[in-house]
Amino acid sequence: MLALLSLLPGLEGVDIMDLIIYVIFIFISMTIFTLFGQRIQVWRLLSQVKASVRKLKMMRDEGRRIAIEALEELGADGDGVAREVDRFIEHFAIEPENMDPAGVVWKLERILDVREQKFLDEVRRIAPEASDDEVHNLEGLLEAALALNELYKVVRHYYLLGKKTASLYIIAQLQMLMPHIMKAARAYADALMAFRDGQPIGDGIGALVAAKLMHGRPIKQIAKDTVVAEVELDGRLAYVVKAEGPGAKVGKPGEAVKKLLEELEGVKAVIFIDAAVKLEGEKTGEVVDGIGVAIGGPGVEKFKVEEISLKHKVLFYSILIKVDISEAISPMKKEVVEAADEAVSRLKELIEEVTEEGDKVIIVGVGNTMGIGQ
Amino acid sequence: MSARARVLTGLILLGISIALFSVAMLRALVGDWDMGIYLTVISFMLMLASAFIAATATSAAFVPIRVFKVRTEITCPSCGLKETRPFEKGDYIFKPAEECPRCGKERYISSIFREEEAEKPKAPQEEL
Repeated sequence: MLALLSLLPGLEGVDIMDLIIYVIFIFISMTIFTLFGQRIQVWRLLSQVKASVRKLKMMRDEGRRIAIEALEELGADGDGVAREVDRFIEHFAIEPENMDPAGVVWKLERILDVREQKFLDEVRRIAPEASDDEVHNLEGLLEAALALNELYKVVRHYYLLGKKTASLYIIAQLQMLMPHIMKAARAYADALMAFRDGQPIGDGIGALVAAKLMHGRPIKQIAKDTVVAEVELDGRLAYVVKAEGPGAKVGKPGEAVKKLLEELEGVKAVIFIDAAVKLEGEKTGEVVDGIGVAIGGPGVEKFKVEEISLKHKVLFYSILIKVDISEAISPMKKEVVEAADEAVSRLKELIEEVTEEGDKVIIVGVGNTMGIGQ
Repeated sequence: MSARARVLTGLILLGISIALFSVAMLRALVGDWDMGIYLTVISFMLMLASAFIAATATSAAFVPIRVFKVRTEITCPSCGLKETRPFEKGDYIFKPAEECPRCGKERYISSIFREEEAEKPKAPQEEL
């Protein structure tokens, strides 16, 4: 039979056994890759995601350890503190129902206020020796640990779900998102030490600019955790607003602007100074101009200002300082600190462009004021 | 095994596998097909082992929490003297600091910033 095959045209002198072995090898390879190709791909993707889950777990565990140590330093009870931290990092807030969106902002504000108050009260209870600023810093530290725990648990959930269902589409989506998730996790991990020690973070650049303007001037409280100072700037009367430092506070800048606009007559412009997330390729510390209300976060404070702007027809300007997401919550880089002086110069130019001598202007330094006094 | 040792082992295995593959090609060229195939198979196995070790080295080298060196800058508003020192817990910008050693006036903390680690020189990045 094999001898007959070797008589076929083109196969004269060919070793038929070798040919059969090659054909079988190719056939088996094709069968394996056709039937199990997707499984092999799933296995590869799963192993990549598993490595990331392991890294997230390491970050989460370190966050928990740092939080426990920081609380113990400020008088937390050694035995119960680990249990308290575990309970804290599992905490969640339920968003308000938005089927009927009217009034949802105020419901969200209420939930956020209650959440913040509860966190601060818990920290005060766990660490009774902590000062008010330390309480806010510890709360920030626990928030970072909570975020790391949440990231770890969500990624682990999809990893296990993908493994259980062997669904290429679940795992592929997760694997594609992993670089962004790991970048966010790295940012939170970098934030841990900054909050533990109360060091200024990149997000605080707006507060730093405001602090530079109001330093040495008398201040008064205008809203919760928020202060205002009257400053004379090139013949204009500026009301400079920032969160009250040096604890890790963001205050209520929207509430402060709303109160000032209601109290004062003839405010010509409101200028917001804040950190903005830079795009890849942009320079850290770049100062750019914008229009509108530059207040980040869940949107409650931004909403308040936008709402009142319709009534007062006041002009809104923004000066933004570009920072990377990982720089926003880690210790402030030198380029960012130096950008504060550039932002002050730009602010003075802007005031000269859009206002006249004798005008009133509100300047708001938005951001976390940790490690920044006034 | 440390991350450095893993990387070194991976590189050694990769070097051996490339050498074996070259020898296998030479054996095939002189007509020794059997030896050529054996050496190629061994070379591929070593390459796989090298890739596996390199992959584990990356996760072994992972640092969960980075600690930055942070410095505090103290300025004297009277004579302009500026000094920096490592950050101490409790420091904050505009905190009054100790007296100026030059003019004896009160100083304040003017800046707190992250000290960047010295980066190795890189090839200039393409402008896009």
